[in-house]
Order: sequence, then structure tokens, then C-alpha cells
Amino acid sequence: MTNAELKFKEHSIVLLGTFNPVIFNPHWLARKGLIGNELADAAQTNVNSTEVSEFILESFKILVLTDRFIASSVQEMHFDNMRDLTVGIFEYLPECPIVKIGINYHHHYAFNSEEDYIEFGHKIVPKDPLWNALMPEPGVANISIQSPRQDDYVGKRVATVKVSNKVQYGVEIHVNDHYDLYKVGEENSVDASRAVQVVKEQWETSIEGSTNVIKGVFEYGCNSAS
Amino acid sequence: MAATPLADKVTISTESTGLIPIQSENAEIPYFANLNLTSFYKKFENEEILSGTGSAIKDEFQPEKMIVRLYGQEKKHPVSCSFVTEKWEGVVKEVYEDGFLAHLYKKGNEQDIIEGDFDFDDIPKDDRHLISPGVFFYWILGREVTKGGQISNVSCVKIRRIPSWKKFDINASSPKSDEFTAFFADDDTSTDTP
Repeated sequence: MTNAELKFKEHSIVLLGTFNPVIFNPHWLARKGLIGNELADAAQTNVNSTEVSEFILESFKILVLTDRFIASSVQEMHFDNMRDLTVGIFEYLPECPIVKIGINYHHHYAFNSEEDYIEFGHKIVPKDPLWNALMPEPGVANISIQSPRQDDYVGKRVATVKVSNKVQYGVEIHVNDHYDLYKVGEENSVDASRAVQVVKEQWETSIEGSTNVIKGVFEYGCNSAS
Repeated sequence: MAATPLADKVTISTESTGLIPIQSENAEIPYFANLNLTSFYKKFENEEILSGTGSAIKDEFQPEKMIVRLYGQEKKHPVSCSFVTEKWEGVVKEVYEDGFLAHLYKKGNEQDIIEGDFDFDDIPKDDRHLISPGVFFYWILGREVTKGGQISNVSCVKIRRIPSWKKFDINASSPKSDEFTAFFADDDTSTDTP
């Protein structure tokens, strides 16, 4: 019997490059047919300027800065819509220079007791012989493990286990599936097409791989916590 | 049916229910942190405990469909979120006056295609004009959890608004059946993608 409960999942797509935030707004999306007019009218726009644009659609949030685009959602039922919207946006902005992509997946678990929560951390990072000898009552705050990509892309996969800031006695397990799209010397060919291709091609694989890591960490950590 | 108004009308003695009240920081009355009314209702329906309120009518009451919090100030869920319990991908085949017929398949199992009828009432108004043969959509069944902790089973149809579907997409994703591939092979008319 599991001593923790999955409280919510969060998914995000982070694109690094050069962006013009002011053009990203719900009504631009509606004019392009990427969302409906009613959804655009109902959207909550927090800011829309040359430096930053942020708005919340029905099921996800879009944040655009001059150097990054972030789409995020905690509505698993709409993760695929978020992917489609992101792909759609940059099919309309093919000249947009995007150099890196992160497909991020987070699970937030709540443990039934403080003891289970602490035990999970001890299982993931044993405190003997090193930490107990150096510090009193050591506990895991944040640990990351990275691995080079095993596919044809350049990049890495980084798994992070940290204290959840949303859940009491909670742990957040997060995988950043990172892609470097361009190598040094390719600057003249930078555009959005590779990013669109990666998001289209890698989406399902990325979710599956990240889910395996997250579940593996969680199950391993729970095995000893009772 | 909205659960909250009904819950507001119900007055329940914690002593008579035998449930353990939890004191909130500010409330003068005890409240239940998370009371599943399914079991509550079944347990007490013969005792007519609800009839004393004068406003809890059995016909309105669908306990099997809801988990209700009473008296607010309850333990909250960290965020409003949803979970997928089942996901289908679909392609519109025929459009009728009040709905459409679609072929449905699950990702990774594209060969097993079933047919399904959908009413336009199930489609967001914003998306209805998009429905025509060949359009892709998702049909997703899942659970929504509000910040207040209410859980509801939901299903939604989301029309895919990808601006361009080229042979690459059709071959690389779904469906992989010969029937669908043939259908879209001639539909390479988009000029939106570089």
C-alpha cells in the first residue's frame, strides 16, 4: 500500500531563443485560429508588453519573455492541447529563432505523515556515512541527477527531487527533457522549424521517458518508507 | 448539479452523524474536512436526517456523483487540476445536422478503430464550426479536482487546431491505418508551414 498520493501533475514546454512578447496575446491566437474567440475573450491577460506577456487560457498559462517562451498546465486533460497550441504558434512564426527546448514533467506527491516524508528522502539520499557525520539532522532539499540523451538529439535529461512548495509533506519529482537544437557555427540557420519538429516528434516519447523516471524514483523511495 | 448550494442548506449535527468534527481556526461551528456524501447518505437515508432542513430534497440529491465539503474552510487541494483516465484520438467521418460520426482509436493501438457518435452539444461552441470530415480531435475522460477538493468525472472533446497537417504528421503520428493515410494523402493543401 502506497503511503503517498499523487496530488497533481504539471507539464511545461520551455523554448529558449529570441521572442517579441507583445505579439503573444489571446486575440492574436484567436485571429490565427489557434483558439476560439470565446476562449480568447475569457482569457485572463496579466501583462502584455514589449518585455513580457503573460496570460491564462482556460487550461494553461503562457508566459513570454524576450528570451523564453513557457507554456504550462496542471490540467492533464489539456496537455495535448498545450502541445498543439505551442506547435501552432511557431508554425505561424517560423522565423523565430529558437535554440533550446525543455519538455518538463512534474509530479507532486503528498505523504501521509511527516515520518514517511522524511523516510522517502533518506531512501533517495542515504545520510550515512557522509551527511550524518557532517551535519545534524540532514534532509533532502533538492537533488538533481542528469543523463546525456540517448537519441539522435543533443541534450540531456535532468531528474530533480525536491520539497514541494505546493503540498504539505510533499515531494516534487521533476524531469527536464532538454534539447540543444543548434551547434556552434549554425547561428545563421536558426529558426523555429527544428523546435516545432522536436515538439511534434518527441512529445509522446518524452512523456513516457519522464514518467518512467518519476515513477521509478517514487516507487523506490516508497519501498522503504512504511 | 452544483454541490455547494445544497450543502449550504444542510444542517447536520456532528453528534448525530457520529463523525468526528474538525475545528477550523475561525469557524464557530465544526466542519467536516472531506465528507463523502455517498456513504453518508446511504447510512442515514432511513433516519430522514436530511428532512429536518426543509430544503434537501432527495430528487435533487445525487450523492453518487459528488463529494461535498460542508461549511467551507476545509482542507484544500493545492491547485485545481485534472487527471486523464482514458484518452482517445478521433477523426470526424460524417457530419449530421446535430452531431457527427467519428472513428476513434487509442494512441499505440491505432489498428483497433471504433466508431462513435457525438452531439454538437458536447462540443464547445467555439469549435463547432471546425467540425468537418477529416478533422482530428481528442476525446478525453478524466477527473477534475477543484481547489476546494471537489472531484468530478468529466469528459471533453477538443478539436485539434494545428494549422497544418502534412504527410509528415499523418505518417509520424496517428492514425496509421491505411484508410486514414489514404484519406489525408490528397489533403496536402496547407501553405502555412515553411
